[in-house]
Amino acid sequence: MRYRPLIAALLIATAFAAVASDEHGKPIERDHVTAPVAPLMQTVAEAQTKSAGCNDCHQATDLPTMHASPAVVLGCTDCHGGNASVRWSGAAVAATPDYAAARDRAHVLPRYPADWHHPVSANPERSYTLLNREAPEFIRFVNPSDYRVVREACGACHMKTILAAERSLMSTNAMFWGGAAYNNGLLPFKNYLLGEAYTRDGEAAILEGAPATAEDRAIHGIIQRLYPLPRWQNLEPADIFRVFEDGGRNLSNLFPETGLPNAAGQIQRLEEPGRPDFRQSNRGRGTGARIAVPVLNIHKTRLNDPLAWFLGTNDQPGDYRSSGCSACHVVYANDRDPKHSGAYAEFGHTGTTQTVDPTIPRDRPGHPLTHAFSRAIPTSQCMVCHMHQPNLFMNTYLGYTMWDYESDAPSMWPKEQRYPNAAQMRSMLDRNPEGAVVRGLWGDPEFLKRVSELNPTLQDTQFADYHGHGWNFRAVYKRDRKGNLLDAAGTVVANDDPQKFKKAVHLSSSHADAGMHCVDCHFAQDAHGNGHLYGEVAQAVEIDCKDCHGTVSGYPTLRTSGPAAGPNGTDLSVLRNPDGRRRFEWLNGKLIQRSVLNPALEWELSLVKDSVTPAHPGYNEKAARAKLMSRDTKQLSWGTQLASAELAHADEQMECYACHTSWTTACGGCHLPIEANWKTESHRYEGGVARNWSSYNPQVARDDVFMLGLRGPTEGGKVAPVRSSSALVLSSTNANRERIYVQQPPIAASGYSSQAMNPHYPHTERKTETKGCTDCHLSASGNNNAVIAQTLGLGTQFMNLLGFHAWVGTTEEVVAVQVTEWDEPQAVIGSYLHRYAYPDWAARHRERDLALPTAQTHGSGTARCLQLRGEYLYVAEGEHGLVVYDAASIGNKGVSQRLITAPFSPLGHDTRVRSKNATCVALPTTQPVHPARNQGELMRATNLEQPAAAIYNYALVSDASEGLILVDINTLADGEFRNNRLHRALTWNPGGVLDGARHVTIGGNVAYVIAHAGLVVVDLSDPLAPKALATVPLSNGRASALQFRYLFVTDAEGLKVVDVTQPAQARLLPAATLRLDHAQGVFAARTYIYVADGAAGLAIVDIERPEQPRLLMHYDAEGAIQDARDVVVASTNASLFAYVADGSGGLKVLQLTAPDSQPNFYGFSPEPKPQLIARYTTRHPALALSRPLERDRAVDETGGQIAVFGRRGARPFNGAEMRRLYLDRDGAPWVVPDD
Amino acid sequence: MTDLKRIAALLVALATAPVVAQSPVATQAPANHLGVASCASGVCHGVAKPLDGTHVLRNEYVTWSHFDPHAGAYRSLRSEASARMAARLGIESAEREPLCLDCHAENVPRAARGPRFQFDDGIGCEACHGASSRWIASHDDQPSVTHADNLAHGLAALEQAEVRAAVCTACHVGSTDRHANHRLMAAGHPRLVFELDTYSELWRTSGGREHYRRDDDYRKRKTESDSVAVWLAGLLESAEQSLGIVASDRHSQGVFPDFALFNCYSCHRSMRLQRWKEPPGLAPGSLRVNDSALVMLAAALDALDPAGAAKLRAATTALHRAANQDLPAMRAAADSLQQQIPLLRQQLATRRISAADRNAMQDAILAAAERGEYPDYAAAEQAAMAVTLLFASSGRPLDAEPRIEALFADLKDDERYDAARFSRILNLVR
Repeated sequence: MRYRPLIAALLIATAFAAVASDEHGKPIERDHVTAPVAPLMQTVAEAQTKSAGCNDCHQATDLPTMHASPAVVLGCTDCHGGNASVRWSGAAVAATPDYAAARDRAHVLPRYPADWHHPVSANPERSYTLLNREAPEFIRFVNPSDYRVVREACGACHMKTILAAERSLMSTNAMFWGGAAYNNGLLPFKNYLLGEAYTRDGEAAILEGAPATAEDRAIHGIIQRLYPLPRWQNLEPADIFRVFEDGGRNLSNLFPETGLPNAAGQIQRLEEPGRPDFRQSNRGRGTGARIAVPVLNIHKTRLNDPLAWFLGTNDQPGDYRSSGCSACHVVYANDRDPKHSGAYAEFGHTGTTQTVDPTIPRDRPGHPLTHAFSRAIPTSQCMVCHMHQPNLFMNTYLGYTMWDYESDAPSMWPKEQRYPNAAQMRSMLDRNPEGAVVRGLWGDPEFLKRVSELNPTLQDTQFADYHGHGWNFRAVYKRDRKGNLLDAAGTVVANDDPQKFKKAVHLSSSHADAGMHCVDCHFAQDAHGNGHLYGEVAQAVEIDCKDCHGTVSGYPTLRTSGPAAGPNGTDLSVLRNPDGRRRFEWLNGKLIQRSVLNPALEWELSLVKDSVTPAHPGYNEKAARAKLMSRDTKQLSWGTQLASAELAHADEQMECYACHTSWTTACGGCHLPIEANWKTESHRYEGGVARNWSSYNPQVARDDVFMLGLRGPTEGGKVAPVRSSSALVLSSTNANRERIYVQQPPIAASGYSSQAMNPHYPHTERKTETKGCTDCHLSASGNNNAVIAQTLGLGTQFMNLLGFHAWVGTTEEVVAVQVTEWDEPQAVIGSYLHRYAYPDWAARHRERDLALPTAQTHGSGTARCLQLRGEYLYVAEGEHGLVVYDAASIGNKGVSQRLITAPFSPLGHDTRVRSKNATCVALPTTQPVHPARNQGELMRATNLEQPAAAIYNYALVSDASEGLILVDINTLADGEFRNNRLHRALTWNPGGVLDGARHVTIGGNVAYVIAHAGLVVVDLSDPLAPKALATVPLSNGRASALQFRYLFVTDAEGLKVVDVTQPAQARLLPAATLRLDHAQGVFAARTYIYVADGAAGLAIVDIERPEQPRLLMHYDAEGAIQDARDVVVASTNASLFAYVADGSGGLKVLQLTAPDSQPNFYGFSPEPKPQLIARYTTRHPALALSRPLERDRAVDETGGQIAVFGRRGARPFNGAEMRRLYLDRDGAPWVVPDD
Repeated sequence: MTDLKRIAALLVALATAPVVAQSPVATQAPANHLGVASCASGVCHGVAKPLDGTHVLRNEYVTWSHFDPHAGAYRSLRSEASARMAARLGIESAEREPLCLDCHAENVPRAARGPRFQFDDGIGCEACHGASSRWIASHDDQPSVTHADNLAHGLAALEQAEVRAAVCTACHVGSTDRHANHRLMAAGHPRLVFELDTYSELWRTSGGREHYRRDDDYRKRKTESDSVAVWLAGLLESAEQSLGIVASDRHSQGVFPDFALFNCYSCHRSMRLQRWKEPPGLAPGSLRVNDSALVMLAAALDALDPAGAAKLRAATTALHRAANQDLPAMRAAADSLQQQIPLLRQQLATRRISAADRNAMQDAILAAAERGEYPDYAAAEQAAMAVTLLFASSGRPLDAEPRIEALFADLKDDERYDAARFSRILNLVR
């Protein structure tokens, strides 16, 4: 019900008058003549009269009708309008008043000549909503194929395509808006509601889909209707941030009232005596920047926009394009790499033209290459939009991913730190929403253009030649799990080999390597849509691998069979290329495909059936074994004799690319720091400028994360690779530059964490570099525990976010130490990136002898265990019990005591749970979740969400005297501040089994409690009726960390390994014990486990083979680490960091990998090379650290979902499905060979 | 679907039915062949399913691609059978041999090929409809552009029986410039069989998909030819062309005329069977010029002009005799017979074929059968096709007509052809 007002707001949003001012000046009123609709047919003579005057100046053009087909007969004014009867007898271009007058009589003139740079014809830079304000007649003049006017110019022949294209996801953006709305808790509908569309006059439009039966809608995910996106100013926040809670009396006198401004700002001036409240305003939701940041972002920040309704931004290589049909069918110069641009590559990447028309300047960017439509659309044209992480991210196809600011930093950052002023920042941020751009060299467009020319000089990576959004994209290379570069044969390529990037395999799709462009696979329907409205990209795709490659039992049909294919599919065998040849042809038992772009290029398709047919020359035993492997894990027999139902990897159950994927992109989140003082323009609807803007900052973009899950039923419900898809953390700086919330992850509408995951098609298939047996099953040598943890989506604690603050528990207070810069890039102070992005500040940091200057504290009991989640810090404080601090204002300079226990009064807020001796607190996940939202018909039946496990309602507290205490913490996620009182829900210690309880680790429904008795394994499937499953004796156990099948425990004897494959049969592996003298806190991140080993420093232990742990090193930072008590690990950009609670030594920050210390830093688990980079001396001995936000943990060890899956019915594996990958029917692990 | 669906299946089953195609009189105009791809656009003739409410079906290209044997004409030159034939003929490659390409591709000069023209498209749209460069930009602009305008720009008037007959026979029968000679046959080329009306319908509905629909719109723009008229036009054109080949001296081989000018079955007889019988007036063992069109024409004339029929028969017999005499005599006889064709064409063109005429023609064909005028398979298949189209043109449905089915079942195997049995079965179709 909490959504009802939102839906109402959504429906009436467009009725509100524009509140924003307009910086474009007054439009010129003109009497435009609306040209007649272009005719279906006409005589050549008729057409010629419509071009007569035009040809006086445009004395030549490329294809006069834009169409290669001589069947099309059109005159200039048929498409463009204007007056062809105006004649000119002079030179094509003349700088005379007469010429200008004739031109202006012949041309259609804009209402906003300055914005269009009239009379220059180049697409203006970043025009966005100019199209919505401009007269349709002028839009038709500059781009007859713009959707607002396309019916008039192209409708006579192409109406069906027009109707489809307007409804396609490339126009509506519904997948993105719907996903963003659901994943961030704005709208609870997985059948999305929102999509972009405009009327001829540029008004917001409701879009009706092609008719479909209720049954078809259900089966195919077809949406009936899409509504415009509500204005951000009107839309209430979905986030459960304290600043958004109702109530509060005032913020400050400069408060920007953006929703419903009152006349004279009188209300804002009210000031109550006493401590200022940090809340947003005296009004309710949707006012006064109580708004939804993701929606603000969609309106104002360049995400994957502009889409097809708008012109490209035409300002950077990779951003040149038109709108409407021409957005794709008219080719611009965007990329100089022939693999990306085909034959267009030679024309550069600066959007200049090759036209023969003498009136078009050859050197002015923003013109198409020629006046011609093309179906030979190069991948670089697609990449104008598809280069963005949430937007299918087709970079992967070309073997690139987003650059992380770290690799080859010396070439990309200025030697002198930059201090850009606001104007300089805006000029860059309007082009490129990355906050880091204002400090980097690539903020200069002239540098940006030449980034790929740096490649021969680079050490760490190679860059792509396209830079849409102003971004840089780094090449992904084949590496082993340690991060060593590998050549095609799998041999290590030395990092100091000058030819290393030529020798190592660049992991572009084998399709791209064959010369294929996007249009060689995604034909007309995939590009235009089929007229139905969809909300999910995969639902709208008609092509499927098997349509061209066949299956183990059948040759390809050349009929499309993907989710959006019609009943008989599209007949690919009749397709013709622009040169007239058949696109596909069977020749002598071989299937040939011919390139759309390059008439000289054709290739033979690999046919799956041939690869599994022993007698066939194309037979490949490895492929045959994988494809024909039986489900019987005891025999592991395989062959063509098996029926499809007996196959382990049948194509009915799995997407081909579940294995045929060389790598997947993983965007471990983006930081959206909203700035109230940035006055910026809206990119949609009526546009206009208003305050509030957010940059957009990728944090950890990796290429080494491979996860599997299930697609939703409309897409076949198959096993597919899953990626983390751009989860957000939000911050906000208000008008007084007070940080009113800091790096907060939202909660999804389903109550799962917004650290969104999604099954997807990585587009990185290669012949050799595929997924092998040990990527998904236990290896015979026992070396892939971390790999499987990743594959299953359990997380590997490697790409964790530890943001602005490290949270430290000490003996007498809790401390939030600022460990990063606030500016973007949010470099860890003292780190490699810090040195390049902020050389002055890094120097100052060195002058301070690495001491961090800023921290916030609050007195506490002995804080041996603490956990930040959302805006609350949960601390186990011994005899104080569990204390939950309000940490919302931790970054707010306007709040004096930033950690507080009672934001109102103890009467209205009591988040302390008293107990005798609280020793530890653990939350089932460090990601904010709210299971209470995941209920009812809407979630279960309509959205196909699986129920959340009950354990996610609770915090678990170990108490040395009382055993295990469960506290229901949902109240802190319900947005209601009047009920914030915590009580214990359960106290459990039957027979004193948990006497001396001191540490808890949670793996789904199973808790691992360390007590006097040793490790006590507790089943919490029913959290209020726990069951003791097993007890493993320890020698004064201290802490534990879980990684898939193994629990790593520290005790007086050192590091021990407990096999918890079956938690009820948890068993110590005595041979695995590693002697350590002072082993305490422990943290497992992929194949290394970090043990706080007291005076010995930090022990780093190789656990690639968990049953044979190997001490890699002790690191004490040359004696600086003296009393290591606890450790956590997290990633920032491309580097890995460890944070050590060093007892009386305070907090130590270690850089574990950096491009200069570990060239293999892109590996799955590069060997750590620790360096001390920062320290903070706490006033009391530092005991514990809060675990960072787990960004790759989709699901827990017992199958309970944690992170939202963005598409309907998509989900991680459940417990039974996971176990099938590694346990046989008797519950025993089975293994696959390592090769 | 038409009544002819079934018959189509039967005919396709005819063991010896060749799949050949032709490039018509396309070289006559200085127009270019723009290629199949120029027609194949999804907004023109390449939609996936036929559209309602448009004057053409719009899926003609798709139908052609999948169901029209002409689309495979060039591809068949890549087949193993073609390779074997080429080897036997001592030619390097069927794909480059003009003898083959003349009918298996639109073998127009390079200069007459547009930028998207693809030679390997075999017999594409323009092979029959004419080179499109002069009409492609205007042919769809109705009503301002009439059918007559299109014809004036070089679109072939295929709805006119004579035009269609000329276009089709150019390959399916041959001409003086284009002749499937005996060497080709001996190397393995299938025997040419053709009857214009039957083949038109078979082709129009090949694969159960209509290439065009004879709907109101079609009738409004074009004259619709009655199937009997098409039949007769086909017979006339076939006769004229084949006689022309005989009359010309371009296809003799050494001392012999080209054997492919003769009725195959006049030599290719089973040695085991003795029930062969020459037609009246010919001695056993006579070689007979391929007279299948003439025999049918004579039967048709029996109903319309008995004297003319007798004259034609006499002239045909004379040709056969001359063919057994010497080469100049044969050519002269063919030439004189060929002279009669335009007169016959004129005679038939001025006559409106009535229902009674149709019945009489059918009777005449049956009577000729009884007289033993279809002594071999080549004549019999012509008679069967003729009787079938006459049956259908009287408005009787062919679907599941057991007598027609029996007729074609009897013709399933040319080796087992029996003229007496065929005559009995044919006589049941009334």
